[in-house]
Amino acid sequence: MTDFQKLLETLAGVEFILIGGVAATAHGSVRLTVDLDIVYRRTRANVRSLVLALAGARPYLRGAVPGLPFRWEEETLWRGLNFTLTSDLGAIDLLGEITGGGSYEDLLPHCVQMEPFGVSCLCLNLEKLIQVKRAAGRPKDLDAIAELEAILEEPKPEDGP
Amino acid sequence: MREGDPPASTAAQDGAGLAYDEDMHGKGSPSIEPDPVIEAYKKDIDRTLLRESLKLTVTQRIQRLMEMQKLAKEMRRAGREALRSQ
Repeated sequence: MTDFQKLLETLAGVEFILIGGVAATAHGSVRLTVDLDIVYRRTRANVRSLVLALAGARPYLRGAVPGLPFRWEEETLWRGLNFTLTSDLGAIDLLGEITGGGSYEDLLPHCVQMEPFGVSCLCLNLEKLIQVKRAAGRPKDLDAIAELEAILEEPKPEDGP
Repeated sequence: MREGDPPASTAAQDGAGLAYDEDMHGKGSPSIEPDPVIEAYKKDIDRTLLRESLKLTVTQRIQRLMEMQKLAKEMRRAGREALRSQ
């Protein structure tokens, strides 16, 4: 199980954008998701912050054979880009770039700020979330995209009857 | 909603003063062109569940997601146990 609250609290102070299923949940999705997907800012300082923040949760490559040499350190993240990890707090995907969305800097204009559990973080807005899910072109996302578009179609509070 | 949770009417306050209706959807993002395949999937979406979800705060939605994870885990365990006892 993934403790989304503790993961978000752990990531406080790291520059990242919430995407994927948890972002969809934040926008109102009722679908089950089991991992936290984030796009992190690829600067040396932020990669260092990310490594320090998650170190206590003992991140390890998800699905890898136990005992495989994997050093959770700044250089590892800097030399790679996207990591699918398991940790003591659950599954977390650290993405340097995403299909249809690009990097942290590319996504920044399409974010909203929110404070789940009192933690200030950026979340991809609903339209961009739909756009990147469409761009990923995965058949398994069709139902999720349909749900997000249905949320987008819901009348906003100020629309009135 | 569990006892002690904030009332659903605080949904807009949860996003750091963010007004969901103004900012959550995507100011400045390109509009979404209808896709016939997705439109077909959309027919089966239970919009009543979405409307209930939209009444919650962001924190409450993520809390509910964690509750769903617990339920899924417990149901998998119960399913395995039932199969073993057959």
